[in-house]
Amino acid sequence: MSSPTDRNPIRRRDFLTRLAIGSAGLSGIMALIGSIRLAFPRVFSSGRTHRIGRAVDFPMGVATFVAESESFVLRDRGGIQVLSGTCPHLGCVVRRTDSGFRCPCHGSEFGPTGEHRSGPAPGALKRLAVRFSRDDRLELDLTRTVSRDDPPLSIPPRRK
Amino acid sequence: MSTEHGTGVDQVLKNLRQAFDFARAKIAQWHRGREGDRERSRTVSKSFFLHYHSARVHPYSLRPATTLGLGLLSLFLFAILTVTGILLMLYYVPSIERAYASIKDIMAIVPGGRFVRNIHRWAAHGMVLSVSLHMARVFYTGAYARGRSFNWILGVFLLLLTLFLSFTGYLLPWDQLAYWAVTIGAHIAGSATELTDALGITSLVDPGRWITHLLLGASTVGQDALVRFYLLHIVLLPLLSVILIGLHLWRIRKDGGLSRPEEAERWAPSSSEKGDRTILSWPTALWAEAAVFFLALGAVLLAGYAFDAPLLGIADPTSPENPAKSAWYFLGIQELVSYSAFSGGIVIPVMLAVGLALIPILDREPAGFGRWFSGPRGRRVSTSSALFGSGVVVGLSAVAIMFGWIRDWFPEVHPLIPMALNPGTIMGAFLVAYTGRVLRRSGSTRLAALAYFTGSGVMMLLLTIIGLWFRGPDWEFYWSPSLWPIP
Repeated sequence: MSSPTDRNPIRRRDFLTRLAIGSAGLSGIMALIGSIRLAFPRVFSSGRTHRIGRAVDFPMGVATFVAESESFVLRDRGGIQVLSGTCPHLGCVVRRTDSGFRCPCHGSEFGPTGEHRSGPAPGALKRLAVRFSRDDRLELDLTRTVSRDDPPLSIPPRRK
Repeated sequence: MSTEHGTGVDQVLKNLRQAFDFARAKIAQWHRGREGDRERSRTVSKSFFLHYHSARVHPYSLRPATTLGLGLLSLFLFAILTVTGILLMLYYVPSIERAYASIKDIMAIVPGGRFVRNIHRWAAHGMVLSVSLHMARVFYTGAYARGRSFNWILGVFLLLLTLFLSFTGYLLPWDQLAYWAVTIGAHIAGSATELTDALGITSLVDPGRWITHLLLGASTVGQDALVRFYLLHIVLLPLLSVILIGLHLWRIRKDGGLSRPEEAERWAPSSSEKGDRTILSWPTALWAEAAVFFLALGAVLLAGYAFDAPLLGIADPTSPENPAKSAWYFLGIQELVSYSAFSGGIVIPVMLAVGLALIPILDREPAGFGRWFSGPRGRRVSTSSALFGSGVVVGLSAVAIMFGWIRDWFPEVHPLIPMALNPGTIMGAFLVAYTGRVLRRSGSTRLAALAYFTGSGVMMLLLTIIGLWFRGPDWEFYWSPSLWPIP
């Protein structure tokens, strides 16, 4: 006749102790994960559009700063393109210079269409998506960037 | 009935008298405590606060030159910051509409508000300085050895907490300095994106964005960021600091008091037949501590009276200051990020911090414990490492300032190359190589640690000086601020 401890390598008391510690630990870890998850916000980035005016509001050949969207509107014969004014290095807002743009924080330089010239910025100024709204206002999508090779938005707006 | 009532009042009066007698007896006990050795050590060990140091201390620990009082200075500045911080919280409102105005109110209307804010600001600067110097003192006297490695690592965390406390306090006034310093800081924290962009995997995994969202609660610095920084600054980081400071002080006792060299035993007279050279901490150690406290208090009171804490114009998200400089203790890092955001803002600082934490694990040499530089050889190695480090920083900075860097010479180069090879990373590589050379030639881990610590300290110091005095508008090099162009 063998005793219960011989048949079971683990005693009931030990099993329950481990179960208690294990479940307490597991719920603690779950609570920790939940608390950490809470600190990460759900950032919705779609639909941040800005209406910045009509095409004729922007002079030809000069980059015009639009303060509320921290961007520059470039209008020339080819059409309109919009550059984000936020330096791709560390997020300072660049300013216009005679030869393009320059970041005051760490000195990155960009050419007249935002191409990277020198300094620590990893690349060119981003180009923001822009289109005409129904009433012919320029509508800027702050969350969508377009490739630098895309053609500029042509003026006047093409209607279907 | 009336007699019972009378007895009740009598009883209360009797109890009151008893409480009064008890308090008087306590005070008398404190006075008596100064008399007998036994009473003195009892007084110390019975008190929660006094018992943070043991009832007896070694006279060597009381020499001003042993510690320079820097750890205590940091502790007292932390206490001053807590008190002034609580006072400022009475009026400060963490909302982007009202924060700036509430600081203006504190500066202009609140009785004593300007004085308290000034003290808070200068004590914060002082604490960064004293914590850094304290770490240097502990390092150069080799006081991280002999079972003290855990306390050293606690100290590294306390240094990081001090820096992070200063940084989070920075945003709260919501002025131009605050806004742009934190914009830059948050982008540095999120600059892993620069690496994932260069590798072309940002759409799959974007740790930079997670960190930015965790820190700012949004993609840009705004109301959510202000709330988070406020929370960190007034609750989370101070609470962590108090816990770690408590552990840090308690470990000093557990590790057998402050470090001291073997000579200290000869240096102090023996007070008993057993060769015990310690003396009672009451009252000598307490007087020394009080002296440091009043020094700290006097210094910040004077500074707060004489100099106003700066407050620039209200935050303008469309136009940074030019130049936009962060606080002086981050200018070394700002100088590094002006070469590459990810390697200068994340890789090098993390490696420096990890290197600091590893020192007591990699170096366990008992020789020279408690002695400055562990003796003349250590002094020589430290001097040459300082000279070498200065040469490297000045040389590489001069090359970058005069001739530009890789992307100016080869504009089409892949972005990973300047990220890996820029003046900052090359300085780090030189430092590691120099440390390795000292280790190989001397065979002493302590000398290698001295070379590493001195070299990295001198590098950060010089980069800070360049950022502080020699950088002007657009982060260009100028010999003096008087040569800055007029905007």
